[in-house]
Amino acid sequence: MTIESPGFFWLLLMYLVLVPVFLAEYRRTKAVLLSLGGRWLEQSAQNTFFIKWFVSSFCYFICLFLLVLAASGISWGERPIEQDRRDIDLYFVVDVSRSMYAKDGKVSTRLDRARETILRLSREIAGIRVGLSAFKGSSSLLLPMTEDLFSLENSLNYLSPDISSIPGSNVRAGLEQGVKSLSKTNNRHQVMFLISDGGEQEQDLGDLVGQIRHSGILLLVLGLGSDQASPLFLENGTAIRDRDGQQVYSKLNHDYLSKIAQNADGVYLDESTNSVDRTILDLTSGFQSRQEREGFRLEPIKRDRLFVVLALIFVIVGLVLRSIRWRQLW
Amino acid sequence: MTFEQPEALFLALLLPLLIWLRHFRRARAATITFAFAHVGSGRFKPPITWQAVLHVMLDLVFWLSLVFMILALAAPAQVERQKVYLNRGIDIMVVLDDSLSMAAQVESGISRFEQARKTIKNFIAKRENDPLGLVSFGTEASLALPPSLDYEAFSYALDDLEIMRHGDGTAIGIGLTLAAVHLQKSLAKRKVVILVTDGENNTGEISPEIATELLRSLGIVVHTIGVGDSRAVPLEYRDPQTGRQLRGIYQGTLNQDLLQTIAISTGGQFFMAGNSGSLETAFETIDSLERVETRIRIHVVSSSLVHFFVLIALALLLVDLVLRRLIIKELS
Repeated sequence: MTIESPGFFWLLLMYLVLVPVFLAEYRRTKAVLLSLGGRWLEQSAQNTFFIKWFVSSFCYFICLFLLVLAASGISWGERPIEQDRRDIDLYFVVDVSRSMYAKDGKVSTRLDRARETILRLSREIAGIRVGLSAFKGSSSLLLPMTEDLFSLENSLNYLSPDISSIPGSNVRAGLEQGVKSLSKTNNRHQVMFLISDGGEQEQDLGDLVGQIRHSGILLLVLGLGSDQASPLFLENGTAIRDRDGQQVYSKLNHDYLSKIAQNADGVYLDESTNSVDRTILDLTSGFQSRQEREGFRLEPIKRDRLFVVLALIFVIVGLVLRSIRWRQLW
Repeated sequence: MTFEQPEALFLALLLPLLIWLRHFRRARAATITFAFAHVGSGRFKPPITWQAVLHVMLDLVFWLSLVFMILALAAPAQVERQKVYLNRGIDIMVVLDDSLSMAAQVESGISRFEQARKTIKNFIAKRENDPLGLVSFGTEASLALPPSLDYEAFSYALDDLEIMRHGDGTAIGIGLTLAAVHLQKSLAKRKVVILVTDGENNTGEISPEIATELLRSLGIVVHTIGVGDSRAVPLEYRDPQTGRQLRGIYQGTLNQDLLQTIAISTGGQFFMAGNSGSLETAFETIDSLERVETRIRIHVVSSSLVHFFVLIALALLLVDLVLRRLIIKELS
């Protein structure tokens, strides 16, 4: 089971308002009932009133809860979607935030390692088209989808934090750029390759990764860095310091990146994975050959309408309970 | 917008029954019957107060929330029909001269460069499945965009070009060679270069003849377009870096023989475009020449809008449930 927009669960906080409002309604209505009926109003009648109020209120509450579930995009199960695609579009989305200058005890920076990985992979996969975008606080398209690998090599030289003046590590902007570029072609297998250290933020990407999954894009995420914090340096070797003069360190945000891959039904790898290139090549070719052989891809089945049906039933039951007079009384 | 499960809309037939049950049934719950001894003629009419108006509005809000739930059940979706090209198109590389002479005016206030830019934009608007690339050249040359189906990126790259970016010379050979380099590994069955220039090759380490031979050996067809003519024309240019303005009269020569040779030896055509109309005609001719049979399939992509309707229903129901109890204080 997957939830596309778990952020909607915050709407459940509405019960903090609804419960007191409904309880106040019960007290007020019961007082009116007693004043109308007088002291002779028997206990069983009061119980009837309580049961009616409780059951109908419960129905409304359940209805609201089901609507929240429907809005959050819950899905389970898969169904085949016919697909006639050939060859691969491989779109690289590369983090160029300052933290990508960390070396993690190696000779080259994370950014250099990203460049090398991209070059190696693009040369090894036959008949691909490639695209490239870089993101920091915002995203920039460096290369639209093309077969021209010379241009990719050239574009890799532009991977630098100087590409944007907006600081940060806006993974959402990078992925959105990738989805936009890949959406311009629909007759090829689409693979998006996110290369990042994850930064420090925890953006909610639920809706976006849902879109990636729904579009049949295979998302591969490569985490660069390690669990050990690594000091950051500028290209000229100067240490990067914060406002208090303390040296800035960065480490791989493993959890965040693996969550993105998991939610998109993709695959997360980090540098510690044995033979990253081989694994990616196997994944990519496996993805392509499976879809070409079977002629379809599996798409998760959204269950939002099931929850809406139940919500409608509950609201109608609540409505009918309140509209029908019980024991000729109320 | 369409409904993928329109049969769910029949549920709306339940609404009149529910409305009657809640608002019009004589023995409905939460109502108290009063006997009015009315003096005078006419029936009793309750006064219209803001509470009464709000009450009616909240009733409306409640029923609207049910309507939106039913609409959500009918699976509203945004449907888009996309063309899926089953074969690939022609790789086209536009090679545009950005030397100073391209600032010469073809019409009042419009330079050859601007006119070429506008005409190329009209040309790309007619293409659909052909990867388009862009090279600009002066004394040097650079790739502005590799062949790509991203026409938006092409348009952006074209807008980004500037006169004199690559110096004042005209290195036709270098421009063509660069285009050849970026087309050589293309898997397209037909590869085309469109050279747009107004001058004579006067610089560059690679001669146009060598570049032509390279293109020919790679099976790339070159169409050449000579812009302008030998008449003296006004030239205006403002350097974007320094703001320096150049004004004068330009009288240049166009090596028609060279352009013709390049075109003929690669299987292309040469066009002379002395004015904006003929430039447009040249591109239209190339557009009609460079066509391949296109096989397409229509792919229907639908994006579900259910959650929008659900959110609206949820909001309306919440408004009704809360305001009815907080403000109206209805007995229920």
